[in-house]
Amino acid sequence: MTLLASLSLALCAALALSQETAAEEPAAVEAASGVSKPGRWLTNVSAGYPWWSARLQLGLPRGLSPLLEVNTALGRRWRPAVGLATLWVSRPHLRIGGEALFGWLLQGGDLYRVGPNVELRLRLAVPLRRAVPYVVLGSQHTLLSERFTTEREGGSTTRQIRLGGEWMGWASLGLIVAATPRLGIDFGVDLTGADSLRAPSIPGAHFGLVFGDYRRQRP
Amino acid sequence: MIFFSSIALRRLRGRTILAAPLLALAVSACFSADHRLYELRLTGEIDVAPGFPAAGRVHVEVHHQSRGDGPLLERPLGLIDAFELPALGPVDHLVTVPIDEGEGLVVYAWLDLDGDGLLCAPGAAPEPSAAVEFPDQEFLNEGAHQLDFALTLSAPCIGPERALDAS
Amino acid sequence: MRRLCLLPLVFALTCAESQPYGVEIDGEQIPVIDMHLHPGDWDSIPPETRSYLTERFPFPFKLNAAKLAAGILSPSGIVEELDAAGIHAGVLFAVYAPRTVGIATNELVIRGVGQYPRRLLGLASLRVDRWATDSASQLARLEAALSKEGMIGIKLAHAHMHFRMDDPAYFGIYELAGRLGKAVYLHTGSSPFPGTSREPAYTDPTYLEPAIAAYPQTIFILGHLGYDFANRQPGALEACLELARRYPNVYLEPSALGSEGSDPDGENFKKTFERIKESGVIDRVIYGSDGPQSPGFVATYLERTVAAMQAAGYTADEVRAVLSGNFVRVFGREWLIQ
Repeated sequence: MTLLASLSLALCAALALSQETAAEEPAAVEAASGVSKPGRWLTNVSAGYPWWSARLQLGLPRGLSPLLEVNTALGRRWRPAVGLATLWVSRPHLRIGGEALFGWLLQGGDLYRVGPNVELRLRLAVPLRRAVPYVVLGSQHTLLSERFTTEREGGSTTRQIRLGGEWMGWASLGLIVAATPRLGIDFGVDLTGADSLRAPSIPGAHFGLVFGDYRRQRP
Repeated sequence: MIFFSSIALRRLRGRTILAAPLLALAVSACFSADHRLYELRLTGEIDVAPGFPAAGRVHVEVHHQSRGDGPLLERPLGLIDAFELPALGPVDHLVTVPIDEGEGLVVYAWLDLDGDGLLCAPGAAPEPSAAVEFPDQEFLNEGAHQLDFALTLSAPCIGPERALDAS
Repeated sequence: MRRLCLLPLVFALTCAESQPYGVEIDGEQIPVIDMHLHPGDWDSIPPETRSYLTERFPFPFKLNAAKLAAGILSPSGIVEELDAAGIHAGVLFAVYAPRTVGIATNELVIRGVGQYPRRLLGLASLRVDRWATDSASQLARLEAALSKEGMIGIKLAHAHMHFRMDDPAYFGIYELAGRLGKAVYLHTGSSPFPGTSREPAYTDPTYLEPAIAAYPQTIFILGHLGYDFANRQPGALEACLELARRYPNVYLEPSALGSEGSDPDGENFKKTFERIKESGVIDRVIYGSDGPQSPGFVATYLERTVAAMQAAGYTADEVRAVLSGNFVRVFGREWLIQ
């Protein structure tokens, strides 16, 4: 069965299972916007090609959400990170927010590299009745360093660090469907631009589950 | 008090024992590459065998004796540094050897009689070359950071790949 | 009833017109043989070259380059590329260049040729890095490899293997080639790979002239037409053309120089084919791509070559000569394109 057929079937099942959303927002909206309401939490676990990721976000006052995230591409490039998300625009059918993450890149194989990693993200979500289309744009910057240890002629040892960097830009275009107020199903297409877009990248896709806290608003 | 202190010390010692590998892990996770370099002063004399003119710039190359791992990829030579001398005679040059990239050292030189920068260009007169090799033990273990050599350029038109055999 | 319903599908599948092999020029279907293809083993490539190649793979393939390379560099992967390009046959190259591009053994090539005897031929090679001690045994191993079915010549790359083109110590290779009636393919011009020599004695085909003159019974195929890959310029093209004009045992091969990476706007490639035509040596040109490199490269390079020849005013007969006719004249095996 093709990937597209599988995704379509899952989407239909999610829509069929989803309930009418209550006055309070379901977890799907908070997952797509990246920010949880104060006192609430949310997890988003997704798998796909090439990206797998797991995210935990908590809601704080003033529209802030600290988050903990780890993602990997093919199990060869890992990036655990902590960050903070905020909403700049919060309307019933439009959320625009930003995230800043700090983490560590660990990449093995023939292009071995490790180093501190900073990422900035822009999120756009359009909450509809049961579904939330979203777009995420990310810009990742990793500081790479090489160490040179030289045993000098006079017997002393000097160390030099040569710094470099790697940039990775990415975009996700997806849809989170609220199967229940607490449970959402996430589908998305991922585009990655690596190393200043010098080499072409292969688009990917992911499928994820969102699970979060939910409290029905008193009438 | 002593009891609590000893517990505290044991915990500290335990943390220290735990901290060492964690620190090593942290350090190794900081650098994409780690290079070890060894400064080596090359001193010596380069002259030419009888029968060849003795005027011209001298082109010198410093190679590893061998590089690569395994029966397929292990191979002789691997360029570390190249420099020129204005004429035959004494050499005093500081080279920085990447000691993890190969083993041993080879010094190769040739005499540019016609000044064209090419060893034995088509139609040119033969230009002499030679090489000398040193295993790691001769310059690394001593920690002296100096290697003395003598080279007599005698083999015409031979590149570094055959200079050791021809010398 | 169900079986009757399947009949139209079966009919459609069996009667579907398969794409003919070759390229169509002026209504004529011209067969193609690609004489320059690289099988390989990722682990036999030096780390620096693996990093160089991996950087060029698209994301996320570059995270697991070994897996991608295993598919592309296998004989079956190469035959798939030939099929996609509509190419009748190809020639696999053995390589012994541990300082630069790595090792693809004679045994690997012989196995590949044995797997696809009607689609693949091979060029053998040898190690030259310890020539003083190993030359006799290396020449014996080379001769043994050349005795295998489908092994039609010898591959050398002085810039990759680091030995001078004019060093008589290595001329025993050309003597062997002439004695066995096997052509010698030689990489000419600079190379973009890490660790390669850029000195003229290792890249400029002018330095080959003593060998070419000394072994008139040996066919020398000057690969890449002396292209300067480092600077993306024609390099020693004129020297190659001059050698082809003066020596009947010199042939030319235009692989890699016309790729998008080496000649983005195709101008150098078109001018190269113009100069070949002006020099009157079209009958010496044997087509090769230097694939597979990446999925689709073999097909794309053929398209770019045909486009360059057409832009340079080549007739259908001249295109035929380059794409397969000259190969058959040198190596025989006309059955490959029938």
